[in-house]
Amino acid sequence: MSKPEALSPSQFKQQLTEAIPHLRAFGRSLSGDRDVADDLVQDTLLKAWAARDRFIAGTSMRAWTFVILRNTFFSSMRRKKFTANYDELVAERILSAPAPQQEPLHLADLQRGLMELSDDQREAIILVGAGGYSYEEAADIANCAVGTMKSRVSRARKTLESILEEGRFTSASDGHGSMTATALENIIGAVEKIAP
Amino acid sequence: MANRDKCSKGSSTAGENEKRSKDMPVKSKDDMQQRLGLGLKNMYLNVLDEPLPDDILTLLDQLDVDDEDESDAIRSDGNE
Repeated sequence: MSKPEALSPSQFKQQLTEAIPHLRAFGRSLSGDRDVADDLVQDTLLKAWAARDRFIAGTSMRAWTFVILRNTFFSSMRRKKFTANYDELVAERILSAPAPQQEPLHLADLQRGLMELSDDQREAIILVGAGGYSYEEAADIANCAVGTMKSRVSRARKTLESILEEGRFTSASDGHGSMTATALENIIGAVEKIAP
Repeated sequence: MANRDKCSKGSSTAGENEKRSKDMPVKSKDDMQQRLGLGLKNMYLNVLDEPLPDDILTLLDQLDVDDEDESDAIRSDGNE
């Protein structure tokens, strides 16, 4: 089998640079924290650069680096280097221009709601609902079956809608400090209880 | 909104509905899904619009430099 075509360092760097804003958005949605997300992005850039020979020209740099970022995030979560958190700095930002009879959706509420989802559900709804990936692409990034991805998105959407409608946030997403693994497990347990 | 009627959930009394309508706008499931979808997209797009932080730009610049240093080191090792 012939070796896959590689990009020149400058081409690789160009594509990597173009992916950075998306990496920041994905990282921030996953972690709920600006600084943690930017640390994740830096780790991702270093790993991507070190592994650039393995990137196949013509494939999606964004998807490739998303895989690196999410793997970094989840393995770091296990080592507790990063913790999922809620960013108080953006607490009052209002998202979306609502229809006249709709309340605006606050970024704070959305972020808190996201942080109450399990990691895989949060990742799924970010990739599909925010990043605009197809179920197939998102499944590739998350290394799961397409059916699993669809199921995660559906459960995430229902849970998030329910949390946002009822304002049913747990104290662990109040934004005071980092969540401990135990708190995170409690949240996941609580969400699993209310999820249909 | 066409879906407004869907919001009167289950056994709410008229009084409760009236109170709810005063406290908050009536929302249907479709409204919520729409707002959620829009909110998620906008949350993501907001970050895309931000300028890149200096430390990330510095790191990007450093990638090439480290590489060149490494190449120079390998070349000089080879010449020794």
